[in-house]
Amino acid sequence: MRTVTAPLRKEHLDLLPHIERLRTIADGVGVLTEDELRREVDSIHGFLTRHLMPHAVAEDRVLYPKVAELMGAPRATATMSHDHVEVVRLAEELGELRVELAEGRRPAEVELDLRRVLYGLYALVRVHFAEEEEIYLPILDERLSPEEADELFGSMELVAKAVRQGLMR
Amino acid sequence: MTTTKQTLHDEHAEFVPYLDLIRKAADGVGEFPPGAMRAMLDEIHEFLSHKLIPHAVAEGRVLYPVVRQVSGTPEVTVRMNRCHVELGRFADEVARLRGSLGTSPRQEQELRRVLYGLHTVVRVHFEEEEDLYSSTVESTIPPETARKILGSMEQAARELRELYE
Repeated sequence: MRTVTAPLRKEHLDLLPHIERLRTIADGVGVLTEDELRREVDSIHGFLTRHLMPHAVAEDRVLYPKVAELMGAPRATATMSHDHVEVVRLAEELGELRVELAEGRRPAEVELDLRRVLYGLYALVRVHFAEEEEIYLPILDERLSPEEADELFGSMELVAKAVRQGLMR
Repeated sequence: MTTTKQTLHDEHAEFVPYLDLIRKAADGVGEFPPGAMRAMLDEIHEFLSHKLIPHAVAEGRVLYPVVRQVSGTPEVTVRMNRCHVELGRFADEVARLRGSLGTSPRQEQELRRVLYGLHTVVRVHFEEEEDLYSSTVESTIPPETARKILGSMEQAARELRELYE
């Protein structure tokens, strides 16, 4: 079935392999060499700050207000935005661990924190994507015309781009 | 019996020691002897199936209809119910892993994934539910009525637990 939210579902599909990497890197803590682990943490932290967070800001600024408007309930997406706050908090914690590793702290000393943050993010983001697709996107599919949807996703892309360029947060 | 609990946060407070237990167990994978790990998983599974899930079902029956009514939108609690479904899945995974507890790297990774994931998802769900409660129920209905609703919810959770036991 062709749905107007196909581009957003496709974006989730493109993000999912990276989300899976949160799990495989967590699995690798205590297994990978110290250098490998540092590189993996660097790379996934880059994905979180350059891809996932701009996507989340675009949802907060453009997508959720539209969903809330269509539902006639300003509170309807507040809990979803709270998930974003938590993802940002965990990503910042990962950023701190990344700096500690770069400054020469032994991975063994931060193993527990690394696993907690990576597996925590993995669970949170996966459940969040599923909820968005099952609960919120069908509302848009039902009530937005293809033109309105295009405009919405265009605005989201502009916001995500501005965040990536450091013009907005 | 009436509750002395004032807010949903008070209701959740009694679950916090179990959240700490889940994190302690996750931190202890690969460290604790199998017997100790099994005992912790037993306790975590007991908590999920006899405390958290009855509480979640009671919320769905008693609290969420009130939230929907005062907020004027039926959709507002759909997502919270969906989170409860996820808790059920985590409980199933804990039960499965407890049944085949081993010390292979694969088993240890799975156990950590489930326990740390559960810890984060429950912690965040509590925060979101408490926000939703305070912005809908607490801000619109008198405290005495809100306490009665929490009391009915506790009663419903107790009845469900008795059914399971």
